[in-house]
Amino acid sequence: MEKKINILYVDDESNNLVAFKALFRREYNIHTAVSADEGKALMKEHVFHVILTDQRMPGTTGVEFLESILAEYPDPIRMLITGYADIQAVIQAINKGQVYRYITKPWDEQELRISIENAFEVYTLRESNKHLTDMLLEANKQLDFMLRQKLLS
Amino acid sequence: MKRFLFLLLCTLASAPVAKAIQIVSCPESNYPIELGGKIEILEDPKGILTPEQVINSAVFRPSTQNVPNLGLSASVFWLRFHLINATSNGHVLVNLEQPNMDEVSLYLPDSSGKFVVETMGENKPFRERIFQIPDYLFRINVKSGKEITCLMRIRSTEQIQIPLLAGSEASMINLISIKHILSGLYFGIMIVMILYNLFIYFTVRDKSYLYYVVYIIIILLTQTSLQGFPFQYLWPNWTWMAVHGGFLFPALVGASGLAFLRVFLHTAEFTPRLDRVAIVFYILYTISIVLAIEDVFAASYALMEITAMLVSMYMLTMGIIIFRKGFRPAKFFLIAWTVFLVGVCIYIMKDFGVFPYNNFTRYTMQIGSAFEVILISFGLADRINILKMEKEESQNKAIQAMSENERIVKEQNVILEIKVHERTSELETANKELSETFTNLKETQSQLVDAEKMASLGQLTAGIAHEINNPINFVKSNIKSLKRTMDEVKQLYKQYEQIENGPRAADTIAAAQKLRKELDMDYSMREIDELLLGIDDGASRTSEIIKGLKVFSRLDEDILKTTDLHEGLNATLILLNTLIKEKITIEKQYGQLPPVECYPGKINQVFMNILNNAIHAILEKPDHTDARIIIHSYSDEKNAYVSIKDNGVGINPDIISRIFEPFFSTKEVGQGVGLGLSITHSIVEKHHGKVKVNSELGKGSEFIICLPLTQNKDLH
Repeated sequence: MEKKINILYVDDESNNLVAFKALFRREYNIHTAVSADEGKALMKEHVFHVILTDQRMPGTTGVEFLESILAEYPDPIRMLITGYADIQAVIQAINKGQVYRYITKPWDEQELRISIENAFEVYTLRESNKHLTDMLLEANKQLDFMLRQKLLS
Repeated sequence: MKRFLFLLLCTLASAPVAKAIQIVSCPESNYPIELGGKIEILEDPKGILTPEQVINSAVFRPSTQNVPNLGLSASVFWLRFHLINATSNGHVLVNLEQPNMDEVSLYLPDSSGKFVVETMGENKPFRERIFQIPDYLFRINVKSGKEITCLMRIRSTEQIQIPLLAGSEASMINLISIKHILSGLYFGIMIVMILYNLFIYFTVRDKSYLYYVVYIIIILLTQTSLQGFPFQYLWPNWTWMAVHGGFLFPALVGASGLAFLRVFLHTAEFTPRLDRVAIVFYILYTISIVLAIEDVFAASYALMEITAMLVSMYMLTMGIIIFRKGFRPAKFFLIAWTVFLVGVCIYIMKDFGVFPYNNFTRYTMQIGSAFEVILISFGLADRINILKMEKEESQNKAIQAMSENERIVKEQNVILEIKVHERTSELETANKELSETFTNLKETQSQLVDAEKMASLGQLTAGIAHEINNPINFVKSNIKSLKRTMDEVKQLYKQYEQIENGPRAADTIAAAQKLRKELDMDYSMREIDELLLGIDDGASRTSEIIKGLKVFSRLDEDILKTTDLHEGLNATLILLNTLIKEKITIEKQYGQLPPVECYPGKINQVFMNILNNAIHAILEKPDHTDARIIIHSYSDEKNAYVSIKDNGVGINPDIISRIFEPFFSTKEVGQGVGLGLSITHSIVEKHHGKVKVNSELGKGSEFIICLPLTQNKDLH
C-alpha cells in the first residue's frame, strides 16, 4: 500500500503556503501553518513525515522551531526553506536543528519534489529499520526465552 | 748783526785792563761805544751814600769786564765814568741796556757842584721816561769838546748786569732800531707760533696744543720782559708787575712747560712713576713765586733757577726714555728741548759769569726758545701726520676688514644660497609627496565612500533580493498550479462537452460527476482564486519594489529637482521592508510638505541611512516590543522638516558629538564602516540644510532633517 506523504509546511507568508499546497496537494497530504505555534498544534493532531519551514519568521525562526520539536518528534525529516542567504543559519540548522536539506527560494518544483521523496525514503527506511530492529529484538527475546526454557527443561 | 758782532769782537780785543781814570771819547759814529769796561764801580750796601760823598771817593774799583756783572745783590751800586763829547752836538747819550733795573739814576754835576738827577726804573711809571724805550737812555748835555763826570746809581732785584753804552744820538738810534727789529722778529715768530698752534687746537681739539699755546705765551712774556717791552706796552704803570714779573714769569714758564710736556709726551702713560715727580717741581715753582711776591727776591730767583735746571734735566730724561720707547713725537721734543736747554744753559752760565755777557749770550734764550717753539710745532704737526697715518692705516684696516667681511658675506651668501636651494628642493619634494599623499588620501576617501555606498547598496540589494524573491516564488509556482488546474478544468469541460454532444446522458453525466469528484473541482475552484490572488499580489509587490528601487536609486542624478519628500520616504521604507516587517511599527505623520528643491537620490540616501540606523537601534534593544518609528514631516515658509524618531537604544551622550564623524561607528567590526551619518551630514550640508539629533540613552533617538525649500544657484 502506497502511503501518501504527510508534509507540514510552516511559513509566515500565506501566499507561499497557498502556492506550495496548490503545487503538491494532488501528490501529498499538505498541512500548512502560518507560525511555529500553529505548526506545533498541528503536529499534535497528525503524524508528519516531512516538515518544511521558512527561516525568517517573526517570533520563532525556522531553526528555533525545528530545534524545539526535536525532542518530542525526532522522526519527521526536517528541511529548511529560505530566500535569505544566511550562512550562519545554515550552520545553525545543520548543527542544532538536525536539518536534512536546505532549500533556497525561489524553489524549483522538481528539486523540491525529489527532496521530499528522498526525505520520505529516509523516513521509511528509518521506520522499517526501527521496525526490523524491534522485530529482531523481539525474536531475540523469544529465542532467548525459548533457550532458557530449553535449558531449564 | 754781523757788524755788531765784529764791533763787539774789536772792542773785546782792545779792552784795556787799566786802573787809571779813563776819559771816554764819544765820537760821531754809527754805533755807540761800550762804556762798561771803562767805568768804576762802588758798592753801597745800605744805599745811604749821596752823590756828593761818592763823586770823589777812592773806593771805586775799575770795571774788569766790558759788561760788568754784579750778580744778584740787594746793594746799591754807584758807577763813575768820564766822558768827553767828541761830537759836534751839544749832548751825548748814555744807554744802560738792561731794562730790568729797579732804579737807575744819573747824577750830573752842574756848575755849582750840585747834582742834577734823572731817575728811571722799573719802580717808576714808564710814562715818566724821556725816551720811551725799555732801556735806560739818558741825555747828557755837555758842550762839544767838553768833559763831564757822571755818576750812575743803580739798584735791582734781579741780576745786575751793566751793558753801558755811550754815543751820539745817531748812533743810539741805529742801535735801538736794530735791537727793535730783532725783538720784533722774535716777537713775530712767537706770535705766529701762538696763532698757528691755537688754530690747530681749534681744528684738531688736541689738548696738547692748548697747553703749548699757553706755554708759548708765557715764554713770550718772559723773554720780552727781559727786554722790557711788556713794561713799556702792557703795564706801563703797574710797577709791581714790572719788578716782580721777572721772577713770576720764569717760574710760570717752567711750570707751564712741564705741564705741556707731560701732555705732549703722554708721560703718565709711558713713565708713570717718573711722572709723579713733577708734583715736586710744581711745588718748588710755587714756592719761588710766593717768595717773589713776598719780595724775597734772591731766594726766589735762586730757587727758580735751580728748579729750572732740575726741570730741564728731568724733562730731558723723560724725553729720552719715551723716545726709547718708540714714541715718535719724543724725537722732535728732544731736539727742540736740547736746543732750548743749550740756550738756557748758556744764559744761566752768563748769569753765573761762566760766559761773558754779550749780545749773543743775552739773546741765546730767545733764539733757543724760538727754535724750540718751532721744532715743537713740527713735533705737534708731526703728530698730526702720525695721526693721519694712523687714521689711514686704521682706515685701510677697516677697508680690509670690510672687504674681508664682504668676502665672507659673499661666501656665506653662496653657501646660504646653496642651502636655501637644497631646502627648497627638499621642501618641493616634500610638498610633492604631500600633495601626492593628499591626492591618494582623497582618492582613498572617495573609494571608502564608494565602498560604503557599495556596502549599503549591498545591504540594500540583499534586502531587495529577498524582497523580490518571495513574490517571484509563489508567482512562479502559482502559475504552475494554475496550469494544472486549468488542465483538469479542461478535462471536465471536455466531459461536459460530451454530455451536450453525446446520446447517453445519464452515463456521461455520471461520468462527469465522477470526474468532478475525483478532481475535487470544488476545491480547485477556490484554489484558483487564491492562486490568482497570490500572483496578483506577487506581481504588484515586485513592481512596487522595482518602482521603489527606481525612486531610491536616483542616486547619482546631479540635477536639482523639486520632489515630494514623502515619495522618497515611502520608497525607502519599502526597501527596508524586510527589516521592518512585523517587528517594527512605522507611524507616518506626514504633514503639509511643499515640493523641495533638492537632489532626490541623495536625499533618499539620507532617509535610508537614518531609517536604517533607527531600525538597528531598535533591533539592538533586547526587548523590542512596541518598537516603533515615527516619521513626522512639517514645514515653515523657508524650510521643510522631516523627523525620524525611534524608540531604540538611544545614543550615549558622551559620543553624541561624534556621530557625524567619518569612520565613527559603535557597531561591531564588519557591521558597517561608520560613514553613513557622515555622508548624510555632508549631503544635508550641501543642501544648506541642518541635521539635529535628540537622544536619550535607553529611550530612543530623534533625527530632524531640515532642508531649505529652495536652493540658490550656487549650490556647489
